[in-house]
Amino acid sequence: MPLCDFVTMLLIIRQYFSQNKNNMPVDCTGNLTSDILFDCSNAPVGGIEQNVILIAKDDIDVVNTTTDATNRVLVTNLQLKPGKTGYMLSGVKQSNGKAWELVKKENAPDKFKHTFSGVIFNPSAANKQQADGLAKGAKYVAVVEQVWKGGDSKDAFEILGLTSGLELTTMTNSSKENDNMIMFEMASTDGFEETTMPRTLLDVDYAATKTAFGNKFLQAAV
Amino acid sequence: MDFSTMDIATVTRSVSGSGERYLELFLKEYTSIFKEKVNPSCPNCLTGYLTRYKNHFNAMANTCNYRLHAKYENIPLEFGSPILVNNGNITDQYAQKLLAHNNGERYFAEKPKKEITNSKKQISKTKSLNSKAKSQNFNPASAKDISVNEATE
Repeated sequence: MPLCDFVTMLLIIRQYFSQNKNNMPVDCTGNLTSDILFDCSNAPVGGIEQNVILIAKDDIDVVNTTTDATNRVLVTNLQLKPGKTGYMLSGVKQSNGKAWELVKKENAPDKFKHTFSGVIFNPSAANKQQADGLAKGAKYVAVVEQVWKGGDSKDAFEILGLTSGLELTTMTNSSKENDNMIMFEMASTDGFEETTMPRTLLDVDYAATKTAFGNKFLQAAV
Repeated sequence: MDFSTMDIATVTRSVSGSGERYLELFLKEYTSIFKEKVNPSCPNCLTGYLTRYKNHFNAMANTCNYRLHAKYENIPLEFGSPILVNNGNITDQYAQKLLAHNNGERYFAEKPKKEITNSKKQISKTKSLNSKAKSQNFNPASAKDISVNEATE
């Protein structure tokens, strides 16, 4: 067989397999596909950085918010609708926090409950107006920066409630406790939990993600 | 009164000849531009307002045709660079460096049209040369060479 015919045949075979790969159904079995290793140069560290961004779930541009093609827990672009912005909740030390847990389902894929706990330091009229807004039932997404950032700081940011949103679950204030601060917690609603654990946000690199976080993911009005 | 050249201490402490506080005048102007509530008793917020005000006017004065998306304002020019690029200080040189970042095009809300039309012209020229080459039974590698040579002439 002439060499050029052989090469052409190989190319046809390769094209056939690549087309079939694209049409293949997504693997939903959830089998492990690689080792789970300990990177000793990035040992675990607890906590999140002080400031957190809260975004109304309705303000997220779901069309232009992108997830990595090969890793569903990695968001590569968090984009808001035109003219919308996130809002910063400023904290001190570890006043704000995040948590998540598995929710076992009997006859369905398991889900994850995300919880964000925050503190409003000043019970001023302006801050109470915002807290009052939180209690009106809208769903929110929280973006946090972990103290542990991983290699090249690529795992620094996490998004809680991206799929189903977080709702205000508790909000308390007592003049005798916690220096009269307003304590609140937002969590996935029971029965409407998230499909994954909190997603990691990495907009190509740490610097760009941190810049977007610092700008509260502001999207200019058209 | 040009607040864009003042520092925060001047804005918060000075009084005009007619006895009006600079701060009051500044906040009136700020709210008329940005249409949002302000908190005069928050020093951090006041610094933020003045920075935003300055950026707004610098961005308007800047004639560079590149414009960053709002969420990428103040992006470091390079890894570890102390230069934070925003729409107030962006230049064509800064823009070229940002474009060299991995997927750097995503930073920009606007790019010069000239560059786009030039590249479109180049693409159409290359396409026509490729089709010409095919019609004359040239191999693609040599066709590519021809297009590059002609484009640079």
